[in-house]
Amino acid sequence: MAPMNMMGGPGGPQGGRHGGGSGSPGGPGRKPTRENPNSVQITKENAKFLMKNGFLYMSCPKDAEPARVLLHRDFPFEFPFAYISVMNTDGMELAFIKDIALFEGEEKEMLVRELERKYYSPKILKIHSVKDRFGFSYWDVETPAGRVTFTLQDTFKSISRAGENRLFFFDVDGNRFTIEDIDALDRKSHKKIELYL
Amino acid sequence: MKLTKTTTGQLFDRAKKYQPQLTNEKIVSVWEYNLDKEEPRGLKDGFVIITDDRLTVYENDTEILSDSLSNIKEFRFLSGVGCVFAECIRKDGETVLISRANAALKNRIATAIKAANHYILYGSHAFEKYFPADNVCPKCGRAYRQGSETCLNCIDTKRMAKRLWDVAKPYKWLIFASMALFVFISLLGLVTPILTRYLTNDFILSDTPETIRALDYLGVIALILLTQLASRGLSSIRNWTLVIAGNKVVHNLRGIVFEKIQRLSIARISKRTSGELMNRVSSDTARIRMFLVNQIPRLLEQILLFLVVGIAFFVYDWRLALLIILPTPLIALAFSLFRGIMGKLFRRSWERSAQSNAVLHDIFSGIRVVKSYGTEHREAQRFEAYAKAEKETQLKIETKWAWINPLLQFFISFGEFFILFYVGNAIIGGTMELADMAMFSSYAGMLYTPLQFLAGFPRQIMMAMTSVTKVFEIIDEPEDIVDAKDAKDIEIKGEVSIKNVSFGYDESVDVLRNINLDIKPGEFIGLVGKSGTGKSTLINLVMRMYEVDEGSISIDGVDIRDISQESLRSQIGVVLQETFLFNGSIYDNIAYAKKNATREEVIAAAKAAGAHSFIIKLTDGYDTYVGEKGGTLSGGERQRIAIARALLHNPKLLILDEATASLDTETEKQIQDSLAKLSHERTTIAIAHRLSTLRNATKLVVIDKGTIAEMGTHDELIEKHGIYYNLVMAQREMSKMA
Repeated sequence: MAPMNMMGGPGGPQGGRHGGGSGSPGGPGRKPTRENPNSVQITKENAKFLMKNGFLYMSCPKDAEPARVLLHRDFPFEFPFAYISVMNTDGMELAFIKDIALFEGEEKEMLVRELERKYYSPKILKIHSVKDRFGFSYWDVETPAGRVTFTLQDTFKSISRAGENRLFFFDVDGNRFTIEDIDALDRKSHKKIELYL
Repeated sequence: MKLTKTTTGQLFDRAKKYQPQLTNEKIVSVWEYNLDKEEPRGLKDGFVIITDDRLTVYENDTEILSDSLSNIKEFRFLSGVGCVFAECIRKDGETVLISRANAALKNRIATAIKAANHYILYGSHAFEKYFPADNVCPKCGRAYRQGSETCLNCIDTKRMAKRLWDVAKPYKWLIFASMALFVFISLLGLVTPILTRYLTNDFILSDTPETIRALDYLGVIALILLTQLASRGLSSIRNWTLVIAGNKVVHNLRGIVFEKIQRLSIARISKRTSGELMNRVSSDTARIRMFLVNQIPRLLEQILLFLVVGIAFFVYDWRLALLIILPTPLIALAFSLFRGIMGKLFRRSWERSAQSNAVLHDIFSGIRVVKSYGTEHREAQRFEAYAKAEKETQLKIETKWAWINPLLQFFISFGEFFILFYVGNAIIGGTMELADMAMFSSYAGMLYTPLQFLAGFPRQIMMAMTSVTKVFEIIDEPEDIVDAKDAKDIEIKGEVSIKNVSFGYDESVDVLRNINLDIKPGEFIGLVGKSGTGKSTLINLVMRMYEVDEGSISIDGVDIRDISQESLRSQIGVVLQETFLFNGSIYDNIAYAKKNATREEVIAAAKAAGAHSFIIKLTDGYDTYVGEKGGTLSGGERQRIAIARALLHNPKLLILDEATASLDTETEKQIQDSLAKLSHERTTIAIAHRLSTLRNATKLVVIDKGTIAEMGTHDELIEKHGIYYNLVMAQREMSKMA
């Protein structure tokens, strides 16, 4: 029944930023991992990626037996496609990718897809309505996947700003939503979000 | 994208739609998922059915995967970010991805996987057991607040009001008295304008000879004075009854809440921060008091005032009354609009000031770091930035207020324009007198004040009800660790037996799996393993701080669930790595577990803990005051006091969780030896990373990844060349270097 944790970090059921809430002494749920002194920086020269059974496998060096790996963004807000840790299923870092651009073609595409598959954060294109009640806010938004409603607890703390114009939303369930550019929003939507900035 | 949550019944029904021959008994686990497994942004309507012989996965109503359950070793849950995965590991070593879903389904899928694994491991169904209570309100489908099972959106206000009344009931006469006084005082307020009118009409504007009227004149003035005096006097009495009623209500409520929090298990308490709990005990109860003893009586007063003045108006002149009543909806609207705008601004300003306070707190508590890195200037700038943001919001509010306020005032005085117009006309026409004007103006004011109050009242109710809900949420919280009805008080001899115990702090992760351990009385068990492997969790379970998910723990052959908690814990001595000293003297702190301990007993315990020697060097000896953070005591000294506290009541079961970690090896050895002298009469379970700490252990238990990996004496485990051997060798390397 050993659960794995792709986040390589705490992953309480609440998820989101308030994930620490499952709090218990000693912080269980966080698997201890040793620093791996052999973790190497990889490029297309010394590593190879392939997909099998819907999972990502890596050979490093290139002629090694492919092993299943998990990707982890080290700076998920600032650099979604750079500073990527490649970990084994126990959460130990095997390799480090400084920039996805160091790979090309099919392999690069594979890495991008794998990252986007693990980090699911629909974009908010339009805000239909925001209702505020008892410190909770209820959002009704348009995403590329259709209309979605979600709930934020402690609204101000559940929205975080990365850079000038990017916003991240962390809802009560642990879902994430993004606004790539606040200024690109239509006026009505902008007015609705303004208050929380 | 589907975010709604389905009930167990609905899931089962859907499963039967796919597999018509299916019965509830055959279902091992089911879950639905909503994301494409491969395509990062793709959506899918997926459904997984695990029966006692097969795993089948449907996507958009088509079967896409089917496998015999006998081929599967285990199911695994993986959390991504904003989404979760499920996969299964086949017995042939292949891993297959089963589903991907957004985080809203996280708990559902995690528990469904647990149920499936339970079946593979034990061969028995456990779906009902694992299927989580929904963390959404069944009524509106909205998620509950973290750690809460009450939906603020669907609060049954009536029920809450009734419960609130139950709390206030013992003081109902005081509250009634305050209400009556409120009403009486406002009625007195009605009298003054009448008297003023009388004064103006019959004396000031009258042409009757003054001599005859002088006495009467003084009489009216005296009456005005008297009403004023009575009104002030009664106000004082009312304030007095309010204070008494308020304090009694809040005291009562705080007592209930505090006692309840004390009874809750650690699992329930640690869901909330201590700041939040403090808020519930202090601020929320205070707000409830305000509502009960200030706002409710004021509401009644205002309604009554509105009615009385309104009726008076109608009786006197219905046309005038209509003129004044007509703009009231407009005024009410203006008020609620204004509150909407200002309310948001105030909230924002509050957030801003909270932010800059947090920064201040951060900087001050880290002042040593700031100083040692010489970053004072940078921190000053950081604070400056937040202070500036706060200033700007404040400025915005003030500016808006400066614009809105005169407008509001204009609305409030709206009625007076009508009076001016109507009464002025009437005076010119001779049907009214000048004095009427003043009286009507005062009454119009009296009519609009209640309106102002009433416009804001829904908000007050909402705020109060939020507090009421939060408070009752604590009061209603189920106690998950309760004494069984026939719970026994037993005299512990020290035999501990742990059978097939599994446990996880939350649904998705099992911290301990299938632990079996027998401890004989007087044994010294050393728990060894990397940090985070579940050692502390195991002793938490022995103390019954949490309830085991699977299996059982018994002491002297009695399941700990059948032992009363007080009896159990009072016979276990615990020393944790993080020591906590209460405000008080060293004596108070050592005697904490045994209030009537004699000085001799305390000294003996302190000696056994190696604390006596340093305590007697302190100027005030055992009477030395130590604060929450231990004041001037060093980490090791505080730890020795904590050990003395644990030893004082001579527990039959002693638990040491890294208890001597912050002591130097010399002192540790001293304490070890004194503990060893006493240890033949008690069972000891100790966790230590420094393996030398466990040199007296009769049995070592190596815990790795939540299971017992190795067990035996030091020599046996060294011979085994396993995990323990490696740990010992690594520590030897380290000490050689030192």
